[in-house]
Amino acid sequence: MNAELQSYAALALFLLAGGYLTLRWWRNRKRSALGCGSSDECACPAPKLTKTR
Amino acid sequence: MSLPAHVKPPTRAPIYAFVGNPNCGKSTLFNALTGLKQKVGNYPGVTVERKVGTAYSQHGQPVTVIDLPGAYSLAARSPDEAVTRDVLLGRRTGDTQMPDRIVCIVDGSNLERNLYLVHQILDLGRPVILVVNMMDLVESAGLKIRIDRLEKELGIPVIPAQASSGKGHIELKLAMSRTDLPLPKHRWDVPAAISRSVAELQASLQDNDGKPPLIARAEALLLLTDQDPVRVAGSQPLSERTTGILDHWKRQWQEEGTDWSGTLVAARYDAIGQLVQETVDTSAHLTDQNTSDKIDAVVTHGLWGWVTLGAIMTALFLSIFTLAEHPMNWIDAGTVALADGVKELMTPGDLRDLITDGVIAGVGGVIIFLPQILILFFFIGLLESTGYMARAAFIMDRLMGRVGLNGKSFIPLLSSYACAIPGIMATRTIEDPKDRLVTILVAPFMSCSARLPVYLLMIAALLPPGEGSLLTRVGLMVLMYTLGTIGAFAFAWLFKRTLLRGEPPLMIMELPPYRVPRVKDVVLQMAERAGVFLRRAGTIILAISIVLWGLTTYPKSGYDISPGEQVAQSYAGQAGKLIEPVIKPLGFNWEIGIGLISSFAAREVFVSATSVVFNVEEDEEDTAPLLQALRQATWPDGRPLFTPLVCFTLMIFYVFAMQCVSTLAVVKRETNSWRWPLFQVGYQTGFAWLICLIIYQTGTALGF
Repeated sequence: MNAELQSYAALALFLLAGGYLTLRWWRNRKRSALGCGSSDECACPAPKLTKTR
Repeated sequence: MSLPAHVKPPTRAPIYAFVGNPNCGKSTLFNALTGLKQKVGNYPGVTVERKVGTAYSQHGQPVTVIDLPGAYSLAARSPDEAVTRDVLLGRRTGDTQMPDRIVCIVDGSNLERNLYLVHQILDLGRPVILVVNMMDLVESAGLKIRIDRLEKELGIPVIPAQASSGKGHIELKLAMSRTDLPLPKHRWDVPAAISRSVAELQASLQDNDGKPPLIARAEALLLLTDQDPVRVAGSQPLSERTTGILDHWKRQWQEEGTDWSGTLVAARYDAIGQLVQETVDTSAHLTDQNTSDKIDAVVTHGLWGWVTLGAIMTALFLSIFTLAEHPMNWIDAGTVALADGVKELMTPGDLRDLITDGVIAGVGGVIIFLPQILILFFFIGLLESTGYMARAAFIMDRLMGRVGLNGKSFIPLLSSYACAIPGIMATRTIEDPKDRLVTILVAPFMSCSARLPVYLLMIAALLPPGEGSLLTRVGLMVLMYTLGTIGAFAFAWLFKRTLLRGEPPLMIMELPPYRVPRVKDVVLQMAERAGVFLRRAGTIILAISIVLWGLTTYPKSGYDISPGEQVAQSYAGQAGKLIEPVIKPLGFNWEIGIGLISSFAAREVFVSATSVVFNVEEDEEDTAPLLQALRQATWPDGRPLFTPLVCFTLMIFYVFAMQCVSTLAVVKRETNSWRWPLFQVGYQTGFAWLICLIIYQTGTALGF
């Protein structure tokens, strides 16, 4: 893979990772009433099962 | 026997509630019966976990099971106990149906204390099954419970069980399959001095508050057991008439000098005592001190208890350093070899740099600490399963009482050594709101597992191989954990005397007997931790490492500048330089500043950030291990950056600073305000900055 293609691929991965982190933050913010609200972020075992309400 | 009017014959799958004292094995039984058919959520309006599952009767019929929070009495004193009381009294029908039947689980080795809650539940007049759990402990304590006699006296099915090994599960399922569960017998008399008031209150609760007869009687007894009627009534205020009757009687008793609450509790305990006397053979038990007592004489001793705790902590950290050394070296070598392999395979370019300097360096830098984290959790699990943790709580309670902390704060603070989030959630069991808030405010001082990689990295940088003995490393690690604990206690002392004044209530602590640890459970718990850690490394740490690499790479400043200059001009470099004036007096430069900022996502990201920042700066075909890169890092004037003093100061900063966004979010939710998390960031980080300033400036002045 030449340098130019590598630059585009790296930029795409950077944006993808940024998007993933934003999405994760947004999703956790919305479901923060459940369990510790962090789904693994605290490194403590997260609630394995889905919420009822 | 026909069912009373308020107990309707089930037209749907019956709803069972599992009720019991904390640590009676209730959740083990619930998990065994429902398997993975559980739904976990929160009770609306309160931060108490709601667990509902589906079990199958012995005939294959589905049965809904609610695992209610552990409670010692229906006279609730904490939010958890209030939920249990409200569900059983049918006050939460908006979110949780009133259970048709109740399974009471008791710890057989502590039958008398456990039966208090059961006795109150029997007053409700609903079908009850009693599970006498922990029969292995009953036997080892030399006790003999006459199950048939207990069954006859209470008039309900009584099942001996050992939930952890599956004994009694089938019998319980069979009992739960019965459509004709008998109703319990009321076998206690309310003392004569109080019986008239109970009758009056019951009548008023029926007529004016719309309660069914037996619920009204149970509530009348609760109103007279608890001094605070508002606490008993919960969200449903009492009618004027009921309040009037209650006030009238309380006034009369106060004039007569009658302790109505004590009389009622004593009468119930008398009835229970008589029941236990008839059903439990204690002759074998009333001998000399048992083994647990003999061990406790040492490990809970005023002096030897602390010596034991210190020895255990030292042994724990010694194991972390010695046992993990080889696996860590393997992971380190594997990470370096992987990065070198990628460099050989790919032509130079951004993608190659992203993979080697971002992904492999960032994720590898964190994964290297997996063996040490696993060893830590293995030993913590081992100490928990032997019953030692309760003894540690006991000796710590004396100290906590002196600083004004509630004895119930110990478990939240202990949990915070793993992570502050479950610790803060565990404060829900603390009844006093001020005590709870103090515990929440100081819990993040306890060194969580996310700080471990930072400490280990800095200790390795501070004491390179060949310098400093193993004991010095262990001593440094113990010092970090001790400083965090001292910080928590010192601030708790300060808060209890200033912002949140109040006397700590007395705590009665139960010391379970010592047990042979269940290695399988400990290993399972450790494997769960490993799974969580690796999943986290493979998702969030991976994404943060890529983003950090991007922030150190963009905007591109041209191809003719060195990698170091590129990082300096990048977004991350600019952010680091923005905070450099604040952190420079502590001996930290802008590159360390990048690590400090990124630590807000998670503290261990500091390791990934330094891996990314310092590896990006290297322009070599061979990847240098992180420690080597750190040792080569310098200030612009050529002075080494990571001097022993800077490494030590950085560790101290991580002990005290509040840097975890997830923790702040949970504090906001638990306190229902942004005021307290913001206060926490301010006082913790401010204190960390101040203490680091003193250490660094004093150290520099002394020539370190």
